[in-house]
Amino acid sequence: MKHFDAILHVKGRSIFVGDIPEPDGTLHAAVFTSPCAHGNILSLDTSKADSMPGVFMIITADDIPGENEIGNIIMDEPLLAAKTVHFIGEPVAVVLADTSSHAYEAMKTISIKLHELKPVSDPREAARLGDLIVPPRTFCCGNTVSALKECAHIIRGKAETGGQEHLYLETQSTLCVPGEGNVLHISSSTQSPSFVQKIAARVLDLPMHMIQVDVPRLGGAFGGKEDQATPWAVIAALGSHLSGRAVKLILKRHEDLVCTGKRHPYSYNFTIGLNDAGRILVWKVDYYQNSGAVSDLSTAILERSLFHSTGSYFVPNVLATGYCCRTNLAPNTAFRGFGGPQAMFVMEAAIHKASVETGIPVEEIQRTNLLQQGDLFPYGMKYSCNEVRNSWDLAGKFSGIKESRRSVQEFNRENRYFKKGIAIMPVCFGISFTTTFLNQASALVHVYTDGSVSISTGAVEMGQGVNSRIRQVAAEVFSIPVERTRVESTNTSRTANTSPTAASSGADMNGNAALTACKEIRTRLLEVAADKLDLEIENLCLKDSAVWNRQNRTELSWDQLVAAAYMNRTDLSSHAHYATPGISFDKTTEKGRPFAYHVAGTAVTEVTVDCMLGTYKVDRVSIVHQGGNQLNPLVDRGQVEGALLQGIGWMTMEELAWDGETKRLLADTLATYKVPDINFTPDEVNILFAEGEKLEDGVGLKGSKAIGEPPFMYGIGTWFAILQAVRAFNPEVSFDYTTPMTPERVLMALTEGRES
Amino acid sequence: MISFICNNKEISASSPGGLPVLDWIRAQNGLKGTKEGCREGDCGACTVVVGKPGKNGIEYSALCSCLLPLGEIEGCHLVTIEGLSTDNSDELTPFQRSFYDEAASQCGFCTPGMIMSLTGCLLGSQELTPSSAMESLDGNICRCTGYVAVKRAVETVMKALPQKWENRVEMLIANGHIPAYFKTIKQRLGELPAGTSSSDGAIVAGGTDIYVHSSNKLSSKQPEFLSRREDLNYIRKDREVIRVGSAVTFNQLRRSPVISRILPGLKDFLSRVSSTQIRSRATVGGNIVNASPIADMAIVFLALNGSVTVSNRSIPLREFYLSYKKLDMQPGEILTEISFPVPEPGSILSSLKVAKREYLDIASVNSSMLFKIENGIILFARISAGGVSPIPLLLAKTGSYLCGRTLSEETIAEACRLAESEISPISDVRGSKQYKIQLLKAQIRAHLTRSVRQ
Repeated sequence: MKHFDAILHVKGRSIFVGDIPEPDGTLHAAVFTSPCAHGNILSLDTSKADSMPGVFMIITADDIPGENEIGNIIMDEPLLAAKTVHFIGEPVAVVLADTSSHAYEAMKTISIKLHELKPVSDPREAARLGDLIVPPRTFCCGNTVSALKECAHIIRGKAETGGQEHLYLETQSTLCVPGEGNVLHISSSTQSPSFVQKIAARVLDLPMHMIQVDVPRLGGAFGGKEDQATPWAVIAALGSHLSGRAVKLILKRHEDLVCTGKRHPYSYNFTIGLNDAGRILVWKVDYYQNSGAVSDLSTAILERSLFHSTGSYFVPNVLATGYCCRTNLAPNTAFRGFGGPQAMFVMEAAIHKASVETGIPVEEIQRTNLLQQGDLFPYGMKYSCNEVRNSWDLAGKFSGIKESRRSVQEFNRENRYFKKGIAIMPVCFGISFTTTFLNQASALVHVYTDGSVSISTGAVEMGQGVNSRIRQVAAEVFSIPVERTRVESTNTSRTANTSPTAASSGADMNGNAALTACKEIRTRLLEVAADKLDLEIENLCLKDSAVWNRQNRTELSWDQLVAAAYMNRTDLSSHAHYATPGISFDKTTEKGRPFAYHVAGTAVTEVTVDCMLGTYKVDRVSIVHQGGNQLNPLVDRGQVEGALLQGIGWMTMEELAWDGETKRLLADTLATYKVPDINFTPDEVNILFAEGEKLEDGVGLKGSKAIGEPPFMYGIGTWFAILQAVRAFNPEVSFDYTTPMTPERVLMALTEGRES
Repeated sequence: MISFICNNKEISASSPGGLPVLDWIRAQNGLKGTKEGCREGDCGACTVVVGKPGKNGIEYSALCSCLLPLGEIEGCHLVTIEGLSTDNSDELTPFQRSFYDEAASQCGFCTPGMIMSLTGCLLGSQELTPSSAMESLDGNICRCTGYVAVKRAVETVMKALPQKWENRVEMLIANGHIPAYFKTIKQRLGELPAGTSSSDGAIVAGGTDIYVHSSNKLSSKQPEFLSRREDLNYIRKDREVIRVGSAVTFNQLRRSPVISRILPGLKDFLSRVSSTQIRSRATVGGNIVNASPIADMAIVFLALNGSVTVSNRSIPLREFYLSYKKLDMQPGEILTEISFPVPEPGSILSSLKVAKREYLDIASVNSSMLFKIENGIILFARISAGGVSPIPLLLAKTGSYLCGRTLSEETIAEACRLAESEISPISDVRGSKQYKIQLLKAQIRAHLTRSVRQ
């Protein structure tokens, strides 16, 4: 089984939004955005731009026919700033011109006068000022107050995790083409076509059926196009609506970096209490989430942090509180893991600190407290299997950790300035949108009279291989070669009211919907076959592109069957809906069963640090991933390898920084924001897929488990492995639990208190 | 008119010579395989292969089309991803096949660029080994795969290549890496009409920096290209002086037998300077006159006691930088040559750079030391550093202190102390002031202790 989409990619023949041929007369948009992080708009002067060559029109908030509101969960985000600006890069006005360069030249002549207000970029400061997007939210279980009295060791600390730029290679892109009678066809690089449709309708004051959103594929997304493709798509739609012309809007990389939000930086306080045996009795944590200027998906992301507050561990007494802190940064947003990685990092940091202070080895505290079947999560759900512990034990063997430890010790003894470190990172990640109603999907399947199959679902292909999985499922139901199936672009006219392709759930949900639709057609086809062959339907099945009667192939081939069914006036199309079964959550008690299941695994990471220069190299990562029954091992492996390196990037070199005064993003080009390259990828990545628990029918896709996000958190191990190597050089190092572990942080830790 | 061959087709383009090739390509119907990812040469999604007639036939290299002016490909063979198949054939090249087989392509946006970088390696690399192919991807960012599948795919293909061949183009055609039309290119390039464009005053050397920030301005211009100036393109030894023409590219420098004989360690350092695509365009002269306080070559030439030639004036490099981005050079002048004395036998040139990422990144601090040690005594030392002052800096006091000292902990400590007194780093996106001080000290220690065989 392959990643089928790649056959077009390798020849450069796949069509991304930016590659769609533009209709004659297409206008190009350039967006004027706020140069200031916080201020009241006194005046906006677009007069120069109006007379620039090629300019067709200039759009401001006053031109919006409907609501100037693009919020999703909370209504706090204007499409175009009217009175106040809240972050640098906030859209204010739009220039439409005949060419992109004319649009940009004109846009640069727009000027804005502002009464500047003091911007805030620190979430703790925002919390002090009381600027929270929603009231604080707390998950708890047991009694932390009384349990703390039983603890032999109580360790308190702080931690910080940095943000992360998605750096999807394709920037935010839209082409909007008007059709007859005010209909708008929006091709958008979005993970949420229905959301773009809904917001465009709201802003333009049109019914949703007047807006058709189509997504050919995305050049990477990682959560960055879940909510943040919307403003640009809606701006193009607004331009089309007002001009009557096609409008193309493709962000330049610099604009994309400045204007769109990133993974949320978090700041944490924690208290961890252990007994003498290293059992964690108490876990108290505060999450100060840097939400950015508007709510975006921040509240849902914080919720997932709360769900993952104990990481892969069982803790009987928990008090976890989260604050969505409004700051004057671009609205931070979904990014692979969606708040989970932040929660897991601080838990691991606390365990590490507990180890340093108690002398109990890190691995012992980790192993002692790993989740076991039947353990209750703080949100009241029971852990259904033993995958966390199994993967831990298996990873030890798979990576040869005993041998590795010995060789690391030996290496560290023999080398003064090069030190190795090793760390184990267990992961347990809940699968389902924690917003329960989003856990639904649908599919529309057509079998054409020549026997070829067309499938439309709500899933967006962004490289994760969802289309390959869906094609496999359909081909299997009909027992035809995969090549006879095709997954169409994601289109709101074919599949309505779709949930975002996010939360790792795209294949589970849309695949199951496609499966149901295909089965429905298969049933009808077999009825036709039974009738035509005069055989019992119970004995018939489809196999190898033909109808089989028990163990015997009949004379009826797939193509003949389909043709016969059509002549028989049988419906060869089916639409099916899927809703993840068995999930519910009560927000008043913060208890329930929010997840269909959990995905678990363990990574063992080995690094070498150059303790003279402060640089490092990841030597080897060995992963045991419990992925259920693998549908497409090649695609799965790619997801684990890719997520791992993204996680390592978050922990090491990917550093966002903002100017202290203006709150301008400093890492605003690819020359200043670095992501892992081919030379940085670990020398060895070994992955063992272990099947683990068997899911109930209808949960997961044919027994496979979601795989998009969980492996991201394997990358966290790199941070702790580097720290271990640094401590091997300088055991007295006092280290803040701050990410990313840049070469700067490493060198400063290494040389702390030492002269050169 | 700018004449060239795009894939298998003769072209006479009327676009301005300053227009980035990327814009020309994507405006052509059907040529949408070349992607725009960043327009600063940092992602490689727009990589194309350009073949230029040279002394040894057509010399192909992978380049970033976003930073490449159209006028530069006058008389050349431009190959885009579409040029790897004839017509609409569904045949895959071995790299395309192995990328598909290994799922080394996920979202697909970076894939054409990667395939073109690898094709550039096949056509232009000195060696054809798995490691030279991996190296050719040092300018291509992929955000999906983690590169693990890419490495597998590359290794499979490179191992299957024949060990020996007579004609590289014919071998690649026979193995399905390039279509048969490549055989006809040499002759067809010779038949192209001569270009008719003239310059309007703008001057472009490698363009790899100016096109990052001034692409818009240059798009409508007709620049003069220094790459066409044969008189600026040479590397030679004149008695005890090495002379490097200012239009020599980093890759030429890296491949030069003259340089590798005299400075064997430089090749490895140069692999940390930008990427394969950029090194094929970026010039040594450009790096010097760009006057970035962190310019990698300026640091090296300072340690080598280099001089530059501007309008027939020879200026010691240490006096060429006046203040931040200010040079001892007038508007309209061109730097023509960089020269340096051949280091005395037994001396070592050690060059280091540390950045967030080891490859294709700009240094937080870089430094270079030319020195000679005998029996534990430092006979002489010259050290330079970047990122620690408004200009690329010669650490004169530190260097002269080291001369004649015994290599010891005390000597290193005193050298570090002196170096700190000579520099004035500032905190910025590449690191805090304190970090830069520590990093320079660490590099001084590394120069003195690591480059010497114990």
